[in-house]
Amino acid sequence: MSSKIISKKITFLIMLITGLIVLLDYFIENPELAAGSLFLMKLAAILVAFSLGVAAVGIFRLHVPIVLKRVKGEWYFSAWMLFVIVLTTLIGVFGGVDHPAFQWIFSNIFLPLSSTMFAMLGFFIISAAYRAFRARGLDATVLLLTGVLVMLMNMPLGGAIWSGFPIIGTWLRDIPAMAGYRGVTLALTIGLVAYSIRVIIGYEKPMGG
Amino acid sequence: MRSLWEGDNMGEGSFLSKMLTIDRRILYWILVVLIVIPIIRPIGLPIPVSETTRRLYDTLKNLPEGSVLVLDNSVGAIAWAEIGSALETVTKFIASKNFRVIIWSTTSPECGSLTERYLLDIFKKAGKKYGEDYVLIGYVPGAVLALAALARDMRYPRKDFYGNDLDTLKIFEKVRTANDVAAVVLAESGAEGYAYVTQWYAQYRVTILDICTGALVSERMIAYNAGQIKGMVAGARGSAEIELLTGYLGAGISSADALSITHLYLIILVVIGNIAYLEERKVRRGK
Repeated sequence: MSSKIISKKITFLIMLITGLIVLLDYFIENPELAAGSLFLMKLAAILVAFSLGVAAVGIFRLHVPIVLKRVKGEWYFSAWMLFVIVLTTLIGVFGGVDHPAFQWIFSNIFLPLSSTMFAMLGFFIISAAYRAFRARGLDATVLLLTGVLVMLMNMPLGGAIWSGFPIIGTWLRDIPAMAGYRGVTLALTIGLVAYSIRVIIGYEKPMGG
Repeated sequence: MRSLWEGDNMGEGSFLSKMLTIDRRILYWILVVLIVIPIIRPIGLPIPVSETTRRLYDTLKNLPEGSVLVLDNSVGAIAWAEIGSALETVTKFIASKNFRVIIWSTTSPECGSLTERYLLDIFKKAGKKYGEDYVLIGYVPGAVLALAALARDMRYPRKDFYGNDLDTLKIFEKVRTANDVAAVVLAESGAEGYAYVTQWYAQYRVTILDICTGALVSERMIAYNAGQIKGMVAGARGSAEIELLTGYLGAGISSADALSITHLYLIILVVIGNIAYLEERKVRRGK
């Protein structure tokens, strides 16, 4: 047997055993099984933490060449981003997250910029609503009316304008929208269960694996 | 000077059809004015309290003294402007009661810094002791996996945000698993609500109370209507409602007028846009 086949079989066995331990813990009450499952979960959580480091490496792999090649109109943005990443990391690692410089960066750069990015959505929505939200056909008209009624339900003033708006909006949200969401959620969950079982028994390659 | 109309058709068509090509910067500036004025000078438009917010308030109010709560601050800096004030208000209400509070997030690395900046002072001002009445664990990486592990062993991160050993903190003396927790107050802008329902409610029947962004409301209503989420503060509107209920007035109330007016502005724009579109279509068909 070639080493490739052996390594594939070992990978499959690890997936089967870990998958079964975690899965069975949800159905069978057994202290040893629970301890094993918890150990595997902690292990996986630690691996997820490492993925943050992998993401940082990915950013460097993408942006360092841009800086080195002096790509027109881009390189200075990349250089600035890399500089800020290195600076924040150094302060955070050596000074701790309580360090005044780290707190200053968080409060005066990160926080306002994040809020700004989110707030800009409002402008895009206004522009999109004005130019793209059109009653072009029956489907679009139904969508348009539903959107307007749900907006009237969401705004505090809606109920004061007419007490029927919250009733209609709530009905739209709780009956037709909910039915759609439930269908999607159930289909997604059943699909996920099927996919997980296929991964555990080796019929499917796990994502990225 | 640049034209107020996008494109070069100023002289063509009716007023409404010209409206279709209005420079978007005008729409943006009107929006800015409509947001800023009511915040500076509140109008005091009515704010009816919804059932979801009332149920969150009632559930918290009726929790027994000494209950252990998990406060999951997964808002993140990006959505803080929308629901941060609601989380602050709920924290003020929690701090006014005799609860023990454990704070973490399994999805937001900003949890520690945001909690330090906005929430910890609330506990200090209420005379609560760190490590005894409240503790900040901070970011626990791993999302759903970490939540599943925390439900089985809440001390598994080992250290709090400041490097203290969790085993040495008084708050953890009788707290180990999700069975020891009375309720989770989750503030989220992502998929955390669904993770808590599957890992904490389905298995341990822990009461889940949710503070979520407006965009998540329809999705979370599935769990709310099924009784899996007991109460919910929904978006910026919910922030104003919870402030009214608790009496801790703040940014939520002052932005409620802006919320109503900007929604109304959006609806008016949709109506104008559609009338203009229909008129233009009629003219085009006539030609």
